Amino acid sequence: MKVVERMACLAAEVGFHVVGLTFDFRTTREVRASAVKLFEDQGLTVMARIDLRPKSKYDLLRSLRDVRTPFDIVAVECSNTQVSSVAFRDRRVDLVFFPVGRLQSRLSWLIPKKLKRPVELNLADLLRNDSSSESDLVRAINLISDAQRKHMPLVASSGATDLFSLRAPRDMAAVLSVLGLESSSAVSAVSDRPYSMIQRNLERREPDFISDGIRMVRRRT
Amino acid sequence: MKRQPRRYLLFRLVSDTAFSPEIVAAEIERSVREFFGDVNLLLAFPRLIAFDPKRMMGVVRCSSRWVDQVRAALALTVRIEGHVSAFLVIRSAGTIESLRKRFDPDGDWIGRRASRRRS
Repeated sequence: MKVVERMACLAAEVGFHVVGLTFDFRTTREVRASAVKLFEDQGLTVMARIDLRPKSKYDLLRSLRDVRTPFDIVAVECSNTQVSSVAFRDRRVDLVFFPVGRLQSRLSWLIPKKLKRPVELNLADLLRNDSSSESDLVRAINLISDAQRKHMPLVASSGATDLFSLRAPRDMAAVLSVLGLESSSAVSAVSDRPYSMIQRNLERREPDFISDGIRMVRRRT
Repeated sequence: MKRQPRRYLLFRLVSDTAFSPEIVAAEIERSVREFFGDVNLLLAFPRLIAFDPKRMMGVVRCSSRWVDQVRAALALTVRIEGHVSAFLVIRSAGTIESLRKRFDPDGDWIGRRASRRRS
């Protein structure tokens, strides 16, 4: 918990306003609440997030049924075309991401033509200090060029698991910009786009919310 | 010849060990060279202006056109002399005085004030 506390302090110091904490099904309520409190004490808004790594589309659909209500952000790893075709279309999915370390050099075959979900690029994937880090950079460049060509919304996240993999939001934007993303798009990938997604999900928490675009104006007396 | 405008980046160094300013300066130069090459290192001209090993905070000056590249090089640095480390830029400013006012009002580590230097 001390590491989490230091991460919360550092995140507030470097300019984060909202953080997404990744939990899984096994995380107990107490652990989740205490982690959230540490970040909220630093003045940060916390969103509970889950990363799904389904092997097939049926696996994904089954998982989505269970996770949509308890988690604010649902991210899906697209490791094959079957999963990506469902993940990009399903309204319950907020983000999709690709396993950069294991991905083939061309991502195009995984990305469906009709794109509706933002694609996430984890900076932590680029920070591995081994022989594969150069090829990870090349894959990230490919993803960014594919994103620009297909007008695909891109979201950057630190993907931090410890203090050393945390990066400031403007630093993440700078990395995206250096890897080929337009400067304005790079900034919105760490600010506007994730923020609008969070606003939409916060609306879902409100008691008046019924469905996207439908809310209760007044109750029948 | 007109001098290129500069930019000052205040950063925090996160590491399990303490480093001297010389090592940090060499690492900043090395990482910019690694990602952008020798020629671009000269154009970016990153220089460590101040570093406080106690606070683990420092200030890098660079050419204003190369701020993003210097930020990216710092962000992609993962090790210093074999120790896991991370540079996090807290603030970017056009003058060192604005950083001093906000982060070092007593002039303890970012350096002496211009007014003091004159006297």
